[in-house]
Amino acid sequence: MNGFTPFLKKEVFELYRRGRLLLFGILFVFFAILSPATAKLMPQLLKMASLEEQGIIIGDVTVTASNSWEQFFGNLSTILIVFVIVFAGSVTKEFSGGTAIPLLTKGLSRPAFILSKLTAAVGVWSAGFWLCFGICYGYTGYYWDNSAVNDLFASTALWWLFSVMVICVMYLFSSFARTTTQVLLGTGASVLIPYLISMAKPAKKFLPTSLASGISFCSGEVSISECAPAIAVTAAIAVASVVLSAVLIKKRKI
Amino acid sequence: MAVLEVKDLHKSFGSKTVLDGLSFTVDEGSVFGFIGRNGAGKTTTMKIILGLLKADSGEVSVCGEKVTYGGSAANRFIGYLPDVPEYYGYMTAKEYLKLCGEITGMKQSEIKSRSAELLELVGLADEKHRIKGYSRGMRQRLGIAQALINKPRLLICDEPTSALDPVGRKEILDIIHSAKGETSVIFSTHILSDVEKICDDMAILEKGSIALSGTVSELKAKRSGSDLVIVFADTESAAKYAGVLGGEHQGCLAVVKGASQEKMFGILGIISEKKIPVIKIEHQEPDLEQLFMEVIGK
Repeated sequence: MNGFTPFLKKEVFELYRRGRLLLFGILFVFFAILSPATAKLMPQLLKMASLEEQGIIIGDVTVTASNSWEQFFGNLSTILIVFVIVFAGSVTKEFSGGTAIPLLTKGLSRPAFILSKLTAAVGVWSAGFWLCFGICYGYTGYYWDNSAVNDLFASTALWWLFSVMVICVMYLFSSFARTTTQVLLGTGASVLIPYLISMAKPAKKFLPTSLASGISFCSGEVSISECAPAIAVTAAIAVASVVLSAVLIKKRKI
Repeated sequence: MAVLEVKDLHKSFGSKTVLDGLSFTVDEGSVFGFIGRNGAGKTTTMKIILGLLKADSGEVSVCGEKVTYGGSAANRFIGYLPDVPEYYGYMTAKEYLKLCGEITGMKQSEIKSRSAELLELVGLADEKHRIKGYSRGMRQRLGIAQALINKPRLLICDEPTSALDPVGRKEILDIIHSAKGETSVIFSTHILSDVEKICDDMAILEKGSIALSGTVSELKAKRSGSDLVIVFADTESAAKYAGVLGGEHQGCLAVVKGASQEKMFGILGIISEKKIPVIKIEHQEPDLEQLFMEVIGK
């Protein structure tokens, strides 16, 4: 793993200098504030949207912390999609553009190359993710009672595990795909296909997508303990993706 | 001692054979010109030496260490300048050299002093801008600096002057020439005047193997003889006497190929004897271009 630390430093520096850290900083904070804000404004919004003349009457709406977290989990998918789109080209562009070549010939090992990129991505994602959670927690707690929401921390942690797996899978595709589009298609397919399979109830408890149930865990609609197999499968996919990407990148033609 | 040894290298892409039993060595301290047409396999050879490409068969060793594909340990002896070097445009030259130094495992103090020394050598010491605004020549000069950062024993330059204007070319050749003291250089090109300027040894790659190799002066001397160009007073005389003098008629010229000194005296005799109206007789210096054309059969 020659060159892991210097290349990781370069990755973080690149994210900073190209404005990626700022972009995701703003995005995470924005969505963290947006979730409770939307929940708080929901009664007014619904009132404005109610069209009494057309016979649609919306009565008094009671908003709780649960509404805020529902928004939060919904927004996470949006940020994850933006994150994948922005990071999908991180490996392929280094090869197609030729920037990786001088460093690889200087002794940077190929596994170190891809693993430092993965580490930087997972690090930035996780920091932003939990910052987003923290802000949302504080803001929601200011208006309502967070303790009324069951298994909030566990539900969020499971969502985080799912998102980390998606990022690992993205780097697995990056290790051999020639273009950014291939990476995006591969990553997209590996989330979409299990999602479609999960429509069949018996398969659901094994599939990583069920970890992103978010508010359904909190409401008790889906039981966390039933998802134990999915947790194991997700962790296994993440670990296997990391190992495989380090193996496959060695075989990549330059 | 040989810094680089290439033995019986074979490489095909699909049905196209690029390297077909290529063998050569580069001696310590020499500047080696690796010449070939576009597409002759120069870049392929260099990529194999760097472990970036897998050879079908054959062996390459750098400083006695065998090159392996996919992460060659022999790379620690090598500095590489790609034909079109690409960098992280958001960095400055200094930041880039720091990254390169750290990857090769140099100490911070060493990186600092070596970077300053190299940026001075390549004329980028006062450059504070980010690399994305650099011209081609500046990128190439930075390429040499990054290649030399860890004092490699072999500097591999892949067509370093091909895309440059005459000023840029001269600068790069001067820098490579000045690096000669501390490293051996293998320098691929199809610009023969560059080879004549800075190389000690050279080899011509043709049809996947070395068609000719040796020291530059040796090879220039080896040519069967240089051409004699005779300029006649008019086209008719040229047409009439070119054959008599053993040359080929071209407009008001006759070119006698491979004319030795002896042959030239003979020709001068015929001219004076037959009173042939001649304006100029020139014995052309043998140059590499002619040699190259002969070797590739054009």
